[in-house]
Amino acid sequence: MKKGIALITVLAFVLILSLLMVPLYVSVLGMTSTLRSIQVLPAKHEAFAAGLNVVRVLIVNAQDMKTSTTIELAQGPIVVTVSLARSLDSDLSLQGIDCGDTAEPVDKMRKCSAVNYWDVTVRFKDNYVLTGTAVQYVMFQPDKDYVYLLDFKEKRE
Amino acid sequence: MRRKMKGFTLLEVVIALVIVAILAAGTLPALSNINKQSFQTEIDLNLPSVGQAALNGQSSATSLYADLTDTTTRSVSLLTNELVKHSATVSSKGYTYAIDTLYADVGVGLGSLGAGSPFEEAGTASHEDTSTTPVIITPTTTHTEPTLGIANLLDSQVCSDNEKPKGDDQDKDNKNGDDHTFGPGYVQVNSKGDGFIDYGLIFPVQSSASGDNYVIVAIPGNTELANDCGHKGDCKGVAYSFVAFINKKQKSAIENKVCKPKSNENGIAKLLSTSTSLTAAESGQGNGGSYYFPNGTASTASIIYKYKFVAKIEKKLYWSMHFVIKFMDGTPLQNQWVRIYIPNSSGEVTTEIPAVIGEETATTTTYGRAKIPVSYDAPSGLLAWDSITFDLSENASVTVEVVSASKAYVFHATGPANPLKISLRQYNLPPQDLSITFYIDPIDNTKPATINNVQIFYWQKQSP
Repeated sequence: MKKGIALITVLAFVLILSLLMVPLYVSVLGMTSTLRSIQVLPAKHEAFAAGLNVVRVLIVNAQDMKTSTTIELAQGPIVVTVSLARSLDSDLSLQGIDCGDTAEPVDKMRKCSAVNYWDVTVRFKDNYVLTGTAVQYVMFQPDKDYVYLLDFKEKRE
Repeated sequence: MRRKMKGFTLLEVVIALVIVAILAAGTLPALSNINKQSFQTEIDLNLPSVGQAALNGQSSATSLYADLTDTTTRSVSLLTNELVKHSATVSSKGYTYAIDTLYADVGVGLGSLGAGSPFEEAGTASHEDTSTTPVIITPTTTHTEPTLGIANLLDSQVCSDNEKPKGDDQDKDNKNGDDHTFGPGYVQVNSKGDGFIDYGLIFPVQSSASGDNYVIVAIPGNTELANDCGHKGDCKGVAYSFVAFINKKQKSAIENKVCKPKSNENGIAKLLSTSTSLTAAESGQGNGGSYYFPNGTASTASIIYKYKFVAKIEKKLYWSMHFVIKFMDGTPLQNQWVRIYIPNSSGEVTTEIPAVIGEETATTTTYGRAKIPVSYDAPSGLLAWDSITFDLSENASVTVEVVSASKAYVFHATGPANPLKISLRQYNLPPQDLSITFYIDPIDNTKPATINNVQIFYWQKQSP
């Protein structure tokens, strides 16, 4: 009778060992992924914070219903896009132009006392996207607008 | 019957150990990198956070986090679209991480919308920007002439005076002796009117990035044969106007060599002469190095000929040159000179060398940095400093340092911008006296750079 270990036994043993390694592999993978994610957090946060400041600049200086700009930062480019979603008349003091029906939409948006709602997207490195709403209170002159940023959340693409 | 032994033989154990050792050896390279990898991981994780902290924390973070990083730098610059960019760079062990963020004060509420207004409690915040009397900073660029510092010249001497034999109280040709003066990027040796130069200089020469080490000698094309070059012992049979030179790596090796390079034992360049048939484009070689004649002939006295002397061995940083030059009879005093153009700190001669007599008197005007401090006393009822505006000319690069109490910020911008606005609102400067310093640098230093019409805006309580 032959002595020794059958091939099937060896294979089974190897298979069991491999299966035991799977949780370990998953753990290491998870840790690596977490570390990478933590590493990118400061860059992402500052990019988004910068993007929200750009949002205010774009909205206050908007010459069109939709505008977009790309700015290079050390940690990567951000693309900021704002588009007018809704515009309401305001009961605040008006400027001396005709803000009635005859006003051009852009003039009305820019110069007439109003509340404008903008859809905002800040895209960082094409991977990270921040979306939300900006509310613009158009006051007495263009550079006295107030822009409030609301409901921003990140979505991963 | 002999009982059969159980267990492994020694040979089997040894073989097993060898196999295990071979397998283990394969993991050694990976293990040896563990320390390095863990350190790298730590740096990868730390630097972004440190950078972010530097970005948002202090106005000047150069020495911050010294325990975590090698260097941390922070800068502020103004973008054209009303945005202020804050940048931080942190480095550690050769790894560098840079991070930026942007600020803008447009669209930010200041008092009139109630909730959250920092001035709401005051109740009387003014909406009017109040301006002080404009401060006009007139063009205040400095005018400098780049000169070769005297400190660069290690030694100089009239050689014939030094070498003349006893009893010979006046050199035959070099009656007036010689002297030297400095111009933009060069030393000029003057004959002092006797039409003869016999002068030695010792000076250091920088090497360029490529390792070349050279000087350029410029001389008007009006030299002639020098049958008697000062004292006869100087020429050692060289019957031309000539430049002899040696160079050494060590300063100490050349300190006593002024006037010494005067024979063929060193590099010696015969200068083109209107009274010889010496051909142009000729070159020579000596122990000191090589030299190149210029193209052309010496028949035109009004042309300035340029000779390039290159060290034989790279990085011979100390040179001694001995000029023995006889000018043609009737050569005007202002043309009796030789110039030595010595490379700048980059190892290059960048000064423009005139080609024709007369052009060499052209002066170069350059503009340097201007520093203008401006102070503002806090006005009565000051709530906050709002902004600074000024007109920045083309070619201007300005750094503005703003200090109020213990808070200091630095901004940088380039012109033209009319006006340029620096918003101070976002920095919450204390409502105290404000000190501003403008540092204006020309981008092209041959053109002026100016700022003017500086105005400061602030918010103050309305009078009851």
